[in-house]
Amino acid sequence: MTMSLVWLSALVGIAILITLASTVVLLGLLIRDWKKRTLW
Amino acid sequence: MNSVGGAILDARIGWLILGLFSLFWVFLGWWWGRKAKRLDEYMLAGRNVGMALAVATAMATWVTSNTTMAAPQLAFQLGVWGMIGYSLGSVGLLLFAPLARRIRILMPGGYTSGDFVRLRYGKLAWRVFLGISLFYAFGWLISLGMAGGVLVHALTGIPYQLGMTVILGICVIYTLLGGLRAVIGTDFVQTLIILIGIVALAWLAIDRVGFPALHESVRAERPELLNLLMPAALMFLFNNLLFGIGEIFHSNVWWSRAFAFRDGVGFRAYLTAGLMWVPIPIVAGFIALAAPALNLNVPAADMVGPLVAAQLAGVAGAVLVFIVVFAALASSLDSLLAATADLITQDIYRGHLRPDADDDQLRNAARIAILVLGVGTWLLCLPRLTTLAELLYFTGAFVASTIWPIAAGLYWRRANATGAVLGMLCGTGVGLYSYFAMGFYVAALAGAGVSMAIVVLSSWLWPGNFDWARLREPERTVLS
Repeated sequence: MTMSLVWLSALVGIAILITLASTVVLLGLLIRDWKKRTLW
Repeated sequence: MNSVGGAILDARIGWLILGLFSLFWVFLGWWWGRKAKRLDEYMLAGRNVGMALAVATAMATWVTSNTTMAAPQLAFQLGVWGMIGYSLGSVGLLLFAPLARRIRILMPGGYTSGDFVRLRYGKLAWRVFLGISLFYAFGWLISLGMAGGVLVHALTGIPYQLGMTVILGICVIYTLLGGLRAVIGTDFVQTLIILIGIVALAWLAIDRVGFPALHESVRAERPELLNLLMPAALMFLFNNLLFGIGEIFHSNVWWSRAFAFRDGVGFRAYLTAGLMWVPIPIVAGFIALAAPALNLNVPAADMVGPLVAAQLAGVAGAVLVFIVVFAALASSLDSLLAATADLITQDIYRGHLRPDADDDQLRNAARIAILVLGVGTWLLCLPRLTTLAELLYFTGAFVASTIWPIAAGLYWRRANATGAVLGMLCGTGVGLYSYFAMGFYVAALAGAGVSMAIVVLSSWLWPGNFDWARLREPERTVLS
């Protein structure tokens, strides 16, 4: 396994995980703002 | 090499997706915009947008067709640094966070970035700035309109002109109906679609091709894409960083949001959006590296994303990429239409033509401006003149020259009008020269460098002493 394969896999893997976490964060913020009536 | 020459989706499926999503966006635009009666509600969503919608709108607007389609294109042309360089676009959002807070404090009643330049530097700088800003806005609008046509044609065979017309038309309609409220509301839904969609596409590439096979093919056929010292890619990286900062610092798309977010939200929203934006070009661009492993012949670099997705998952992949890019396009097109219309209404119509216009007249002017922008963009998009990235980076020379006049103007009393005007003009000139003499990847770098030198030198030689309170003045009459 070459270094370039390792860092390419790591880079893309971490990017995918952060993107998924962002989705959860956005939904969490939406629910919080909805409950506090601070959407708009 | 396999060639994907014809359309991947049946045109009827294409029309069905276009029709359903168009109805959805127009309904949401009408629903959220139906209470936007006052000028502030129409142009700035009532100046009371909360954290969730603020983060989503900053993310969605910055995830454009230029991310979902040009990120794969840049990965295909410049390799790994193409993706990473694109993700440095997030630095612009991060650096704008403190600016957004300061803008809101200094100008609680402001409307546009033009308001700031006019009050801070005077009329000449304001007009130079408006020229740059409107040129950039049209460049971005055209690149978005073109991306819509290219996408629809590549995936469904629907003629470029027809697809571009429908996508542009839908965005104009719902922005017209609901103003910034419609734009920000739809941005949230579009952000979720984009995030989930690009992860699904990347997962498809990993699942169907796998990292080892993908890596081996790239290393065998396009080894330069894995080269961490590829000179053009490194230049691109720094250029893209400055281009992104220039785009965000000057554009009314971001200023109008700074005015629209409720007190205390701007800083946190831009910071969060910037951090969450970092991985998006990497996830979206990565699939282009699967092209060699799939033996895919890519006739035009800006079609590599849709073509790889279709090759990976057939109709389902093509439908997915269609929906993702449509959402990305719409989220940026609507924002740009609304913010540029605000700039035209506030800085051209009220600033130059009707200083005494009341709120109703201004609201009507904003609507007409959205319509005119839509028609103008449509006319300029009809001939497909250049690739998406080339068009986008042509504007780099212009926007990068505004970074220092804006940033120094917000924080530095000594910054003066002479430095701002010369910085913008000379920065743009040198940036354009670099664009033609060297390449698209250095235009912003040169423009920002020259502009910085001039603004700093001028502030040192002829220091001003600006009174920040002047930014709060309710200045309505501009031309006397």
